[in-house]
Amino acid sequence: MDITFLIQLLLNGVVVGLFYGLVAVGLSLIFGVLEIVNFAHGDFYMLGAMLAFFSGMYLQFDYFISIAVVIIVSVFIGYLLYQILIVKLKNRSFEQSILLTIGVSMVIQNGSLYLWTATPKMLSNLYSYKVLEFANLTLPMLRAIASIVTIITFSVIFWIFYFTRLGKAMRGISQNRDAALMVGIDPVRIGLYAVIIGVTLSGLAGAVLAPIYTVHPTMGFAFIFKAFAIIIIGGLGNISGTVFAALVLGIVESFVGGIFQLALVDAIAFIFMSIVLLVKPEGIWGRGVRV
Amino acid sequence: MVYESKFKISLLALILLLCISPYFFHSEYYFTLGITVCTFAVLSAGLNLLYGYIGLLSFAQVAFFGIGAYTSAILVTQNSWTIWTALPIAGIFTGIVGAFVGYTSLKLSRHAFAIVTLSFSLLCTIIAREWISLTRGSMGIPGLPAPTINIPSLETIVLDRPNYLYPVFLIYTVLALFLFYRLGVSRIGRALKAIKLDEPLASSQGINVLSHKILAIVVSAVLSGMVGGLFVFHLTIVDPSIFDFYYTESMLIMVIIGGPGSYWGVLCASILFSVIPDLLRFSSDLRMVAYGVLLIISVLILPNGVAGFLRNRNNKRWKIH
Amino acid sequence: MENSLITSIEKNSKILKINNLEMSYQGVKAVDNVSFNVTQGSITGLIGPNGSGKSTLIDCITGFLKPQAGTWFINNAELTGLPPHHYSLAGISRTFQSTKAFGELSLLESLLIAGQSHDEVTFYKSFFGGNKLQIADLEAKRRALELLEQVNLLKYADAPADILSYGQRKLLALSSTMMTKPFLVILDEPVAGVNQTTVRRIEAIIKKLNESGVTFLIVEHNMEFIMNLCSRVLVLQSGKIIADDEPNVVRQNPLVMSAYLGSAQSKANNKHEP
Repeated sequence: MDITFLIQLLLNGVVVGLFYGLVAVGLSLIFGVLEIVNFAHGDFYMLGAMLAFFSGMYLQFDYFISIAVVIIVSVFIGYLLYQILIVKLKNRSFEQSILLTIGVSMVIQNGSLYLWTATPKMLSNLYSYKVLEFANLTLPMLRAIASIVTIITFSVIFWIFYFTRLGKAMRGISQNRDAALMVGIDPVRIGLYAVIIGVTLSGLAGAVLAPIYTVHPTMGFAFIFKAFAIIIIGGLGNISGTVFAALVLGIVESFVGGIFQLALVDAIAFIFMSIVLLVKPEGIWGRGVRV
Repeated sequence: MVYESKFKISLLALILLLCISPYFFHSEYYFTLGITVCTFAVLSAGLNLLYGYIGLLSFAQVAFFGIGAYTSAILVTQNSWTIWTALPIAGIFTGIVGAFVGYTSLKLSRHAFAIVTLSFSLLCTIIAREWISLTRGSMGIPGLPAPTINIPSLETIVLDRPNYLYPVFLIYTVLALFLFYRLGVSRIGRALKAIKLDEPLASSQGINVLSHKILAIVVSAVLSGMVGGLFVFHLTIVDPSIFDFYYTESMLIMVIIGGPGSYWGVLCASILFSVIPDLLRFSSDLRMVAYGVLLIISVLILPNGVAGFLRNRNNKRWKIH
Repeated sequence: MENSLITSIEKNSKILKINNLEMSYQGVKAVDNVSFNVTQGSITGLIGPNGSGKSTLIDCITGFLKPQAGTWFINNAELTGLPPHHYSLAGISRTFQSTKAFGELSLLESLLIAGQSHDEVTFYKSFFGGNKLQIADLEAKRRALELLEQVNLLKYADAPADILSYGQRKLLALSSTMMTKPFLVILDEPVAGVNQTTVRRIEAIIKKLNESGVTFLIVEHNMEFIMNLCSRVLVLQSGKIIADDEPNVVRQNPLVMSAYLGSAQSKANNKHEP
């Protein structure tokens, strides 16, 4: 087993990990600030991908413009979602918030199935089918670009989260809601921003990954399971923990799949999650929100 | 509920009548519908026990349904058991899995509990698809033989049509629902409600919260597993789609609209929502969109379902201040 | 009310022994090396300024918090570190400072729940029914209605507990403790915020129960109430016991006065802050 092969596996794993992270971060943020598990997260991801598909296919927008369009639309959708539905959940139990988002998910997913059928759609652009090669390693160009976009997105998110007042307020609420309320942080306003950012991130992920994976109404559902596992492993509400957990998962899956060729690669996320829950339930990178 | 003898007798007569009805009606349609109603009645009663009585939003119900289904199918096809011996074993096995899942996930917070039970169900789908040596993967296990009843020195009755399978479902469902009912009105059921309202208070009065929760999970698991083990003979095939989120979505609608914690509310809702899809023959996707909207409206306006709404109106008469 | 458990305990034995209890959270020592004993048949008061650790102490010995150190013995059996239901089954009842109740359940149901783990009906028997269950249920209902009558709440037996006033909830909580046939009852602020008539009523009930052998440990701020009932008062400040004596002696104790004045002083100081 030569070193190049291992490095290739590592590279593949990091790339997939970045993508997992992009999908999972929005979920973690919304949970951290609002203590709501947004079940419809995968469906906003799917809507982002759908919009990117249609902009690419019918409006001939290129990759980056599609992403920009999706971001703008997602901000708007996040705003509506919060003002119309989520804000009404103020004093409700956690279970009711899951039920609400399940309802939203059912509407979006099945509505999409009705409108666009389950047939997977393939989106290609300038960068598809091109492969980068260096030092005996290969990386499809599309994935390379998507990875860069992902890293830029993470940088923006980290900047917001760690260097702005908004981010500080969000971290405050995630870690200790009561204390945050006492120092005058307005949960309604911060919640709104959290939902807008969270929904935008999932839509963005959809647009970024649309040309890489096939686009169809239930595409989000497959990712949701791993996203849940990742946010538990990384620590519910802990953004950096989520990103690290996503990278680790991507890398481990890549190695296990490459070296052992196990069919149960998908179960790795669940296994990790179970181990973390048994040993350190607040997540490896610890307390975002108490588990 | 009043246990007058007249009521009991007429109920038994009704059930008997329904059991022999296949000899009078030949249309398969109504019996297939009947089987669907029975199955969802049991599944939603199980979810109601956990979410309605105790407040545990468990997404593992569909996992138990599917595990019972697969166990039953495997025992019958690969080990040549009959349904009558496979079914109880499927129930027991599912119960053991339930105890294990319950014991490990109950130690977590409510958030993690919901996520873990959900992940468990999703994991079952993955295992069903990938563990090919056991489950034959995505193709599933087809060709399940129809159950037979061997009456010694008389004929062998083969239950190969929904008409003939229906009485078995009916009897099982009545027994299972009776068990759920008795559990709900017993001291255990009362304790479960107390746990939902105020767990520390219940605990301080001597109620072993963990035991009660695990008991409820195991009972739901066994009864859901067995109805899964039966259902699989109606489908004559078991494949990973038995773990589909569709079952969870349907159960949720029935429990939420009927009224979490209300035995009769959920039972009525389960009948209603099993029958409606067939009456309103529009696209199943649009139906699920409608269910989603119903769920959203229910959470925002009627969080305790129809039964809860009626109960609250009833309680208003006690307002003294 | 007969209680065979109580008569089997020898009078004047130490039914509750707490040794070296320590509980901290987030770096603050809420209970600091506390040890004391409670004699069977007595009414003991536990007082102290807000934040002195009284409720924390109660939560520790009834299983709601896990202390860092300490052991406690109930009726000479070590019952350290068990989950809450064990203490109830061992004969200790408690109420909560926040006056918990099962809001949506009726008063009668609330009392039946309180009592259900304490008769001879086991988990399994309670499901399969039978004669023994019916007899136990009837007896429980009889006791519950009797208790409701004693606190003048019989007419609300079938009403949801939500409708009760604050004072009535306190009475319900007190009645619930009796359903469990305890030999030691720990009350956490049983008369806080309650009107005078109800305070008197609660005092009378406690006195009467004490006469039949029930031991009480009462956390309270209402001095008159404590003086009228308790034969012994413990004073807690910042997690430590600073006095342990008869009520009259404690009242004159300068340490106790400065503990209360001290907290009153700092309250007054805070009021002057801009």
